[in-house]
Amino acid sequence: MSAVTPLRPRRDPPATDADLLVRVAKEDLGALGELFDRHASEVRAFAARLVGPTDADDVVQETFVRVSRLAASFDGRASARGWLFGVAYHVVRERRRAFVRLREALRRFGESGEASPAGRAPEVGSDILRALDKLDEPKRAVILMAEVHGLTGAEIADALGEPVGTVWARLHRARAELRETLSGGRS
Amino acid sequence: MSTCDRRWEVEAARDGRLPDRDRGRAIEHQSTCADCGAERAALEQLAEDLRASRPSTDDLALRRVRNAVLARVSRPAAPPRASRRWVGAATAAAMAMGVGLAGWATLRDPGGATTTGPAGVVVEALEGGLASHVESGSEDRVLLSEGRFAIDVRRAAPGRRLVFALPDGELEDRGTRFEVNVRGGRTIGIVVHEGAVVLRRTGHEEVHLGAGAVWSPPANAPAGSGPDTPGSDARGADEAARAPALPSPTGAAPTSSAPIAAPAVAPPGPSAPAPSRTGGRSVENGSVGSGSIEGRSGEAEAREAEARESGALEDEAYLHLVALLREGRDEEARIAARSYLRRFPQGLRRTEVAAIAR
Repeated sequence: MSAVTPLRPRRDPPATDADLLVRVAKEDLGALGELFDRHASEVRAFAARLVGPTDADDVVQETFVRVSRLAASFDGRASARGWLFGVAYHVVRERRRAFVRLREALRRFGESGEASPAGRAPEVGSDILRALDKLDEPKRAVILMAEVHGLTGAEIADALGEPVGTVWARLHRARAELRETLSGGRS
Repeated sequence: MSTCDRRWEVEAARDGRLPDRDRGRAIEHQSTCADCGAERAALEQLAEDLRASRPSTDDLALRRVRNAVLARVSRPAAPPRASRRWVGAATAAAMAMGVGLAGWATLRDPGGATTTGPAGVVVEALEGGLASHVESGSEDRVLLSEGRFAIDVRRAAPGRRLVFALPDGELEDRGTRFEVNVRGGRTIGIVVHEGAVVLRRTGHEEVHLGAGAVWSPPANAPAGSGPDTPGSDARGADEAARAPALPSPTGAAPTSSAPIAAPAVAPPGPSAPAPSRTGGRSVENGSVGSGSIEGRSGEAEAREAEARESGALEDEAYLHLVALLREGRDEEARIAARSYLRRFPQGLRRTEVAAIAR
């Protein structure tokens, strides 16, 4: 053995999400792992409020698997948070559609199809969660993105592929419905 | 109480719908108007309630999801064409990584040097070792870009994740002492002395290596199945022949009969654990030496049980049959449904799936 050389920590600025996604697009597994470590917790929090905690992990898994295929289409903005929420939201929508189709198929088979867990699991908890449950999925997604995850209207519009005016309108209606439900529950 | 006709501005300002000048005026107005002030407070309270409802994060579950994602993504692609692209991309990425590291690599000592990595981790670069340590948030990444390394994870820092990045994948440590050999952008050998590691190479199924395992890439990988193409194999074998051998898992001196780099099953050292089933086996993702059988099977079974428990496999099977139904491939869906029921007799969706299977 020769001289001892310390392996110095490198303190370069961390890679941006865009850098990581470029590497993911080149099928770099490590970059995907890093992106997961950076955002999975928040994506899970978002998914858990949309579909309930039981299915949230499945949504997170499907989201990041899909990210590996969609990375090349990322537009290069520094943070991928909004984009990831958008991917997660589409995963949720597709799961719901798949369950609806399955339920229809089951009806054709003569089953009730009531056991479908496609929707959000009924939330037992605070008033706000129960109120959130009553919102439809698009409104729930925008209010969560805006108020919980701090995305701007424009970022939400980008993530969902909707006009920003639609996002603002949904936000307004979501707040109104939440307040109405909460005031009803408290009175 | 009368309602202020500028009350709508409270929400508009909050959502960024107002131009800067109007937003300033609206905020100024809110400070003097009781109605608008109350509206602002109500909206802030609503947002606060929503944020406070944040579901708890289960780190263990998230880790399972992470492993499942990487396993699914690293699985060899079915179409050979895609796999070839993967080979090219992996090679390019490996080369890029090598070039990138050259500028700031902290260690390269052809004569062999002992070095320390992150706290509690000793990375010993042996012949031609080129490694770097990158701290990022709550993660320590040790990049092993070229050469041979002896690694001893004595005490992982609490709350920090430790990843060994390879040119062609990553190695997850599970409290262990092991050696890695990287040549020409490929991982060509791993020996695990204690504990366990999980090897994830791009384009391959992950491999679990327990104590005593000796891993080397397959000698004759199918064409287009990742970096181990026949062409690159030949190169790899050639490099392997030139590369210095790693010692056996027991610490015995390397011998010509047990080269880690050789794409063959390496025999255990004198005191290596006796093979539990066979003298060794070749897996799709490389050859695992004899000492690995127990570790591999126990670990793999535990992980498969864990994955089954997490519902990931079940969900995947279920979504697959849903996709078949969606495409109108009813007969295939029926077969997939029967397969689901065999695999997950207690599955959450067994009732629905049973209806499809009939």
